[in-house]
Amino acid sequence: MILKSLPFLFHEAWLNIRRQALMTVASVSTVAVSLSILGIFLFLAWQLHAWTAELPNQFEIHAFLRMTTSRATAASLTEQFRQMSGVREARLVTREEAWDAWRRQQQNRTDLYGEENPLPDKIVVKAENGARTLALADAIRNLPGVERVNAGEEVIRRLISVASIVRTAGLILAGLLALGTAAIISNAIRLTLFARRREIRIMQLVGATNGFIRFPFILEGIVAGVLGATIACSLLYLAVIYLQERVRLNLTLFTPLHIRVDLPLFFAALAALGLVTGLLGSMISLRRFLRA
Amino acid sequence: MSANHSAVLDLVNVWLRYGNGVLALQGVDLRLEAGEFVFLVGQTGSGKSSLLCLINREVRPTSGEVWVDGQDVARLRAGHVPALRRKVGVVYQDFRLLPDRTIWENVAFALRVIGVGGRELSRRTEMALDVVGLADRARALPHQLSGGEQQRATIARAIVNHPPILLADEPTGNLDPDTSWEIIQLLNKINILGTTVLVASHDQMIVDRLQKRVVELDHGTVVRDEAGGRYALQAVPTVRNSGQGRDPRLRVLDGLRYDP
Ligand SMILES: Nc1ncnc2c1ncn2[C@@H]1O[C@H](COP(=O)(O)OP(=O)(O)O)[C@@H](O)[C@H]1O
Ligand SMILES: [Mg+2]
Repeated sequence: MILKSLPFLFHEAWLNIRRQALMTVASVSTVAVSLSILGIFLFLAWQLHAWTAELPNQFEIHAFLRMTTSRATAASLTEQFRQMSGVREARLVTREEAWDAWRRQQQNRTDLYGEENPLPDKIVVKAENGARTLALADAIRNLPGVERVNAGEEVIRRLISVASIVRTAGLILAGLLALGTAAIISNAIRLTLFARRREIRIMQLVGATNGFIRFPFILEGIVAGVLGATIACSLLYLAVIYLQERVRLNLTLFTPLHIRVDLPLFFAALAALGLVTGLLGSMISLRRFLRA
Repeated sequence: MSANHSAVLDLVNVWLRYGNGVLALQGVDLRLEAGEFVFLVGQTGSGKSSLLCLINREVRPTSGEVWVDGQDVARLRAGHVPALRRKVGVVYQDFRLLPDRTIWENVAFALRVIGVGGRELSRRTEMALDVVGLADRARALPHQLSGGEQQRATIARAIVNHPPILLADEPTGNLDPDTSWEIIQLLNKINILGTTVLVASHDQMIVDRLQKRVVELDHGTVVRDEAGGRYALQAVPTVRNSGQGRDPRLRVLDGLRYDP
């Protein structure tokens, strides 16, 4: 029955939108504004989270072996590290290699340290995932043959806590803004409902089902949400393009401005958020209105 | 439970108290057989509108049974209310037409919102407009019509889905005497075509003139129920009526010409 009446229902929704043209413009633009703000927060939270999550990857775990460790033991330890879960890469740097590298780095100042090599063998380990670096460092520290472990703990610890704060704050803000957006749409629909109370009254009197009565208004809410989201997405897309242009000029590989957000997913999420808030908003006001 | 609710309408010991404490109906019993035409009279505030509201479940009684077409609508689940409303046409004093739609669209609206479309929609809409004599005004907007024509349009909307029951709450309240009489004649015609009609009215002229069954309410109780009755009690001896109406088809429409 609903299927056969779709042309009529769409027409009624269109009438709602057209007769309340100003209201529609107002609600679509408020949705666009709040979704843009929400989008900026979401983008920043996502970006910061991705950035901080990827930072510890830059840190390697340096496991310095005891001076007494034989080269064969060092090699087997390296292999053992490589087999540990969460390890992406484990590489043995012999004391001779380290010494050469260090001297190359220090060039003119070799005289200060003499010819005696004070460095131990070391194993350089990279975690598969930045957040695992610390746990991995702890595990390695307790292995026999390992003298000392350097994993840049302090920095990593701070970064991880910053990342989680950013994520939590971003989610809370996004949630609040989504609720606000739903409230705005709900309010707009309530005004349309009020403007069309005569039609609704007559529909109820002649025996239209609640689903039938609701349909045009739900459609209106969805249209407002999706239209607003489309505008917000367009604005944010322009901003992102501008940002990318700036980053290209700034050619630094490791910069917080380098975009790490999955853009198609981000815009799809924003559009879905618009749709859901539109749906939610219209359902809230319909619930109240049709019950009265 | 009363024995047999074969009557098209059967109110059994109905009480209605509104949320504000007003006792609008007090133990009302009323039975209408299919095809009857009944006037519900009584002073303002006597409970006429309240009684009509019970029939299409605008309001639920505080206690008692309201049988409509074999169903106790006092206990009807909310999901079944639309189906009930399709069986009960309603006409009000204030017309309630949609001002920005043509008469044709106003009448068709009642069909569209219950899922009727296409040729069926046009056929039934035109038929209803024909019955009320508005076929040539179909393209007009409500404000371009006279009060009587607007009431005809609302009647067309009420009967377009062929409900077995038609309720009219003060349908002539906003009309002059001549027009009122035309509207009542129209309701009578619809009754003769097979619809059970219940009209709440305190328009003494039309009630007296039509000589139908009259049920009088006073402070929410039925104080009189007589066949061929008049608006007020002073005239002819009162015949207490069990609720049995006469066959309306015996009355010929032509015999009801208005003749001031
Ligand atoms: N929705 C309502 N809420 C509270 N009281 C009402 C309501 N509708 C009617 N009443 C009261 O119920 C009584 C009967 O009213 P009503 O049925 O409208 O009588 P009538 O139609 O005969 O004038 C009146 O006292 C009126 O004030
Ligand atoms: Mg009344």
